[in-house]
Amino acid sequence: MKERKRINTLISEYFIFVIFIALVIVLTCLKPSFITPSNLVNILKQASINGILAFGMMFVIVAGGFDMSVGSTVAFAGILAAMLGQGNYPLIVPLVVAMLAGLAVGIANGIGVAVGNLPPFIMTLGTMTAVRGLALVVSGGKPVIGISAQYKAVAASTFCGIPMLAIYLAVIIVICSFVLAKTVYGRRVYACGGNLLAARVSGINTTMIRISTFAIAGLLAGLSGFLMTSRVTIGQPTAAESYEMDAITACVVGGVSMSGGVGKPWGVVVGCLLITVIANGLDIMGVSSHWQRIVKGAIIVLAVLIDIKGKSKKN
Amino acid sequence: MKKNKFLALLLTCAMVLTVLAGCGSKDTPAPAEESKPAESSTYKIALIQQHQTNAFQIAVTEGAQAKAAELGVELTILSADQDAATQISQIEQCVSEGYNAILFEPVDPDGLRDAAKAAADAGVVVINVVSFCTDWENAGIAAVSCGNNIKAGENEMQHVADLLGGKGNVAILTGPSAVTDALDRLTGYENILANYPDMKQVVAPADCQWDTAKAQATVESWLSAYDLDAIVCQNDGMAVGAGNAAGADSGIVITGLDGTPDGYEAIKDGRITGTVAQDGGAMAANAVEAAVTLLNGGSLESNLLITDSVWIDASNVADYE
Repeated sequence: MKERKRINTLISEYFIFVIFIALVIVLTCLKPSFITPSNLVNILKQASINGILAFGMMFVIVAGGFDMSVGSTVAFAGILAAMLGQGNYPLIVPLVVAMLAGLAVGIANGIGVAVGNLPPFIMTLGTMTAVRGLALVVSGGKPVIGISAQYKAVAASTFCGIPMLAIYLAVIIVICSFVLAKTVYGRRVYACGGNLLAARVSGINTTMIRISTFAIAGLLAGLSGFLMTSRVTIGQPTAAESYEMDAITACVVGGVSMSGGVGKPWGVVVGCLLITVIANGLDIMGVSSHWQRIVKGAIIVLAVLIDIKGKSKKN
Repeated sequence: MKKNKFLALLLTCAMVLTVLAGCGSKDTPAPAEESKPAESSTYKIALIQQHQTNAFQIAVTEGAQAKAAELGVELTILSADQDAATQISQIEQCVSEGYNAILFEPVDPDGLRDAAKAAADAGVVVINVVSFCTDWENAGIAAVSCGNNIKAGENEMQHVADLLGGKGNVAILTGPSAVTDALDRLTGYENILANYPDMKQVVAPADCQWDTAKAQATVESWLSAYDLDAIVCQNDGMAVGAGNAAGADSGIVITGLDGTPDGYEAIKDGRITGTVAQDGGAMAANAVEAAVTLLNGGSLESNLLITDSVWIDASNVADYE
């Protein structure tokens, strides 16, 4: 009896992983070209920008927040990077400027939420709109073209057959997982999301912790903007529309609780791969994009439903 | 309590600012000018664009500004940000501010008819630019200046057919499926494909929302599963994405539509084959000219002003930058 219970909890905890494996098997049977090395490389490339955003988002959500502004931040940082990446400056300049721009947006979000006591949804909705406007103003509404060959190579090059984009993602995963799981700071982030009042009473500077999570999300959005411009070879003010939703989806599907305090890094990795695989698999099968949206929507709801059911059983 | 007062103050300030901003847009005409309204040099014309967030729309803005400066009329440019309700209020606002002519690109072909009719009934010359309202002549709209998306689509697909020798696997990337522009371009494609039974669509057209990154991901996935000879895209942004996925000089015919700087750059370095340019600047300029003609009491040869599309590839791209 006890054994069975243990297996049940194990399954409910790793259920998303089971879904992921099942999906891969089904897609491979339906369309063998899904599993070819070239397509696996595609999946890694396609997952990486969303993956980086999802890890930033994870910090915010675990600390009990929510960030709607990352898509706009990607576009804004991408425009800045495209303007500075024309070959006049070393590549470090667009990278640093893009990340600083993202950091600034993140800190503004964090101050609004943690100091101004605004609901995260409202605060980041505001920055989402305003930063998109900034991207349009800075670019004059036009795509920014003419980035240097060197800058294009940042995303296009590979290392031993593995796309560099995937390597950047792997580095981010390792750093974020370490910070969240192994450091005092990481435990405080979980504590803030679990019970803000209790965290404050126990002496944690919750204001700084919450600001810092938004800052991390912003910083990673800035990095994503830099990579995005390199990948599509132009800076577009309208790019990355609704990327915040994809990042939130990856988190939620990966078991990060929207009420804060709960979530494992590996879950986010699987969540991110899952939504990429769905899009890629349906593209390969030639399914119309309208149906893709329906499938994606259904999976989000199902995953969270399973998540909630699993938890109520444990209690 | 203090906080509430502060909030109230803030709100009041915001309201006052909004009102001031509303007044600000009509501060240019001095009262002296308003007393002699019908003189040609003081016509006030408003251009309400669907949005101003891509190179095509910016070309529309610039074309209208250049023509207005040339003809010496006063031009105000507004953007509806893709929202029909916003555009309706902007039209109403322009009517009450006494504009002589309103040029607009309807966000929604049906939803803007009543607003256009009301403006025309109030004596304003109403002209559609780029796209037009359903049954526009009965909505009081005096003229339409646009390209023809069906013809542009036919132009693009015809060049693809010629390049492929009428035979091969074709894939299509579209804009949002509910948008008239996208549907018309698709109709154009299908008109041409009907003449070439050996050109086959091997996958369903993918809706990539005019977005480069989405197009790039979709085409990467396709290329690992399908053998494609041509990828036909409904705008240049998506063509650039397809070109990035395929790589430069891939041997795949990749085409776009619109003729925007990102597309030209990709044509030059061989990532895409060609594009069909829609001349947004000319559409806007023709509309401004038509408005002035009508305001001067003249008449138009035809109230449907069509701007032709042009095929641009590596041989002539330098002329269009």
